[in-house]
Amino acid sequence: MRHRLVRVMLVLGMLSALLTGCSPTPGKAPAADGTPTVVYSFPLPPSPAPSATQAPRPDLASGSRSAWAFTILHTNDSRGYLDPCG
Amino acid sequence: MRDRISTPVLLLDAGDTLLGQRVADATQGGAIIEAMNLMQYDAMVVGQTDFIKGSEVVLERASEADFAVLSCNVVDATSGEPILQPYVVLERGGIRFGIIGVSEPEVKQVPFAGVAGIEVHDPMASVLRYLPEVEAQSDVVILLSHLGLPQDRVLAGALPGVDVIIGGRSREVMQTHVQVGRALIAQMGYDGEWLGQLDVRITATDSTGLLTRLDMGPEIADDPELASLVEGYNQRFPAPTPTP
Repeated sequence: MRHRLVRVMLVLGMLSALLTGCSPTPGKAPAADGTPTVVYSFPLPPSPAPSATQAPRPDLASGSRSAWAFTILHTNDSRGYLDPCG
Repeated sequence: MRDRISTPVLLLDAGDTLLGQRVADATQGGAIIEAMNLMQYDAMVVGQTDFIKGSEVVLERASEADFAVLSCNVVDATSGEPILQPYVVLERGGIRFGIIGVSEPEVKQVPFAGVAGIEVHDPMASVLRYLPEVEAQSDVVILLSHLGLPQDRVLAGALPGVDVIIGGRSREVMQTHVQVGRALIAQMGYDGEWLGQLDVRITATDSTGLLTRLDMGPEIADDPELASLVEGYNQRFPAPTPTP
C-alpha cells in the first residue's frame, strides 16, 4: 500500500513538472535560458562573453530572470490617416 | 493582433500622427486620438506635424488620450520644463518598460504662432537628463523618437542604456531592424499603410530582434468598432464632391 502511494505521488510529481515546464503562462516572464520555451520562434545567436565595454547588467544577472522576450507593434508618420490605404 | 502574440506586447506610435488629412484636421486630431484609444495604444511621441495647429491643441489631445503622449524636449519657453510627459513606465507581463519620447528640433519651425510659447531642447541632452531615472525604474528602456533614422543611430551609439529605439520621421519602410551596440532600431513606413512588429529578446549580455512588416491592406479585416468610428466621421465630414 505504501509503495503504491509512493508510485502515485511520483507520477503526480512528474505530471506537475511536465505541465509547469511546457505551458507558457500568459503575462508571465519568459523562462530562463536553458529551459524549454515556446514564446520565441526565431533562432538566436549564442550570447558573447561579457567584455569590458559590454558588462552584464546587474539587475538581469542577479535576478531570477535572465532573459526577457517581448513584442513591440509600432506605427509612425500616419499623418492623420484614419483609413489605411486611402 | 495582440491575441496571436504570446509575449508581452506594447503598441507604440512614433509621431506625426494627429493631423494631415480631412477628418483629422477637421477634428484637430480628436478623431485620431479616439481611434488610438480604441486600438489601445500604450504611448506616442509628438512630431512637427502634430504641432501645425499649435501647442495648445497638442495639449488638449494629450488630455483626451488613454495612453501617454510623450516628449522630453518640447518645453515651455518660460519654465524650461516639458509641456508633455517626458517618459512613462509601463508594466506588461511582469516586465517594466521605461519609454522616453523625443521630438525633432524642427517642431519649433512650424510656421504658426501656435508654437510661440514652446522651445525644443537638444534631443541628446534631454534624453540624458531623464535616462538615469528611467533606467532605475525599468527593466527595458525604449526611446520613442521622431528624429529620423540617422539621428536614431547616433543616439543608440551614444546611449548604451537604451535597449530599443522605435523611430519615425525618415519614413523608412524597413526590411530589417538596425542594431547599434545592444540597441535595436525600427520604424515602419508612413500614412498608416504598414504596421511594424519587432520581436525582441534581451539577455544579460546582448539583444536580438526580428522586424516584420505587416501590410495593412484590404486582406486584413477591419475591426467592427473601429470601422464604425471611421464611417461615422466620414459621414460627418464628407469628402468634397469633385467638380466636373
